Amino acid sequence: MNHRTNILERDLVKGCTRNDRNAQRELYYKYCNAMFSTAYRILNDYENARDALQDAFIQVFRDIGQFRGRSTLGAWIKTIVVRSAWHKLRREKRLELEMLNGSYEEVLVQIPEYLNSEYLEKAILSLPDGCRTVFLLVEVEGYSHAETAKMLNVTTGTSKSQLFHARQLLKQRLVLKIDQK
Amino acid sequence: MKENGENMWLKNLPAHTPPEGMWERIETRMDNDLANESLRAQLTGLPEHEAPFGLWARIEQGLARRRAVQFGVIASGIAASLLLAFVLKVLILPEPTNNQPVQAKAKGQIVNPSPGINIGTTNKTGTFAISVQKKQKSDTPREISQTSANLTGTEQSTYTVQYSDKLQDISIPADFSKLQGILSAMLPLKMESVIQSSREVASLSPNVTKTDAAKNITKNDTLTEWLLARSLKDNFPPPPSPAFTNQPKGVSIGFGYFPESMSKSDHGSSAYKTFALVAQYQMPSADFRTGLGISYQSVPLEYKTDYISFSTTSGYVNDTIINNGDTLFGALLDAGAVNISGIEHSSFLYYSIGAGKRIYSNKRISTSLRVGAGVSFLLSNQHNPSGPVYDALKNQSNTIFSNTESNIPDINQTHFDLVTGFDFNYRLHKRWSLSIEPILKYYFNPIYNGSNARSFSTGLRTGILFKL
Repeated sequence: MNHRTNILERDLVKGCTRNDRNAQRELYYKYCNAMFSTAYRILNDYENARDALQDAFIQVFRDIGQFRGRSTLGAWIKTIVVRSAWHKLRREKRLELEMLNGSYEEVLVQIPEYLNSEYLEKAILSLPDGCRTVFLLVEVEGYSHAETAKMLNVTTGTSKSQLFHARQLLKQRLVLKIDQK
Repeated sequence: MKENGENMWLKNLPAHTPPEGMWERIETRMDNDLANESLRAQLTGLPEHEAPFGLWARIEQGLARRRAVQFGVIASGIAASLLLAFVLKVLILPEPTNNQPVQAKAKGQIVNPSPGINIGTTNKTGTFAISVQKKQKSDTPREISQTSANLTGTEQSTYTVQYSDKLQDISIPADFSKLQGILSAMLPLKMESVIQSSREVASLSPNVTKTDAAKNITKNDTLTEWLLARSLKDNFPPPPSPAFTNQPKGVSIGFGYFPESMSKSDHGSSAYKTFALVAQYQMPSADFRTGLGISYQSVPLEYKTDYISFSTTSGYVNDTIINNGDTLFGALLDAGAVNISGIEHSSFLYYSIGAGKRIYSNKRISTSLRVGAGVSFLLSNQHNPSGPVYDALKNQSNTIFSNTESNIPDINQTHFDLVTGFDFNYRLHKRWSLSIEPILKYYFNPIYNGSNARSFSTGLRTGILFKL
């Protein structure tokens, strides 16, 4: 199955490199929903997420010749989408991600089972832009702090401190919800 | 373990107990890990969002626009290079004139003169100062001598070609004002190839001063060299400036392709492509051009329908996509207001006229500044929202739209434009020429009704012309 997927991806990449519109369309429809979800969660705005995804896919088709297969195609595209969304977020909100003071001890976030994923997403989307992005990249997308810091062009310390802050806020909001329950 | 050996002392090492609360810390850490795993598991179940409908159409537009931009950049690069080459030519290379023949021109005139032909007569009056350095072959050892002459009077000289083949050795410098340069250039001249028939028509007072012991330098030799140069210059003027000689009057016809991009229209970016037949009347320094063609325009539109309803005879409509909600069953569906996006394709009949003022021209290249006007008549327009909304409906073979009211803007039937451009024309062959013209277009009236915006567009007119 994996082997078959790789062959398919290789063909897709070749087609896109040749500017084959069918291959480009197939690639788009294969990844559009997953990539839109990522962009939407970072930007927390439907229109901006759409624009960021459009820019990202145009960049993907422009730079696909540079894809060397060191990671999966999806991971490579996601990096571009994240950068595009982060760039848009910074430009729209004039956002600068800074290192926050304090200790970075682990904050335990417990999610009661009766909270559905929609509510959890709402809680995440209610976080401030910067720390939300770090939280999404580290906890949802599974990037390391070093990778996150590189993508967002910040230091690893900033990434860690923002994650700490995000977890603290998320915990507060979920506790509030539990109390209401 | 060795009971009687050297390791016995290990048994007597002091025992240590873990610090107070170690288990609690381990327990907490394990709880944390479990909680984190649980958090991540729940995060993986976050809902997936569907990419917006119509986004692929926008990406396709973006890709097409990027190609158009790349083409424009390449064309602009070529145009800029041609312009730079033209400017450098004008600034650096001297333009050939009657008074200052270049070496090649003078050479070209005397390549094949017939023996015995009179190649010119000179009349010179005034004082001439001549200074020449010459190596004398006859001197032993060879010496460099310098001769100066101050001549006053008039001399009429006639030169006749005797051995035309040897004349090909003559080289004439471009700048005759540099006397020393002339004389240096004249040194290889074979004197026996030209017979001078000089006669004095006024007193000629040579005052030859020998500055050293040079021999065989006579007045006549020196004058011959100098006057021959003057003669060649006076009697063999270069051909007239080549400007405009390749652009005679005439009518040309051709085919043109005009890609155009409007980035600031009131409905986002749009792209035009025009295919046209072109006719041109050409005069030495100007031309008139007219074109008739078909323009194709595609504009991404996003609009909201006020009301859309449709019914089916099968009693089933899948509006999952439209409402992003549950599938509805029923003979009649009122979807209410929905957002629809897609691309509107329009075609126009385009007619344009324009005049160009030639700025530069040579045998191959000419450049013109051009202004003109155009008018477009709408032939057809069609909005193609090719996406899942309509696909879902199309699958129902008996689906009928019963009512659609939307605020999609009406397109203007006719619109007018003014256009200016800088035309580069490259002559491919005797009759064929290639034209590339970056343009700026201004639309007098908006393309869409009810819009306040007036639009500019940039484009590139390319064409191939055949001279009748």
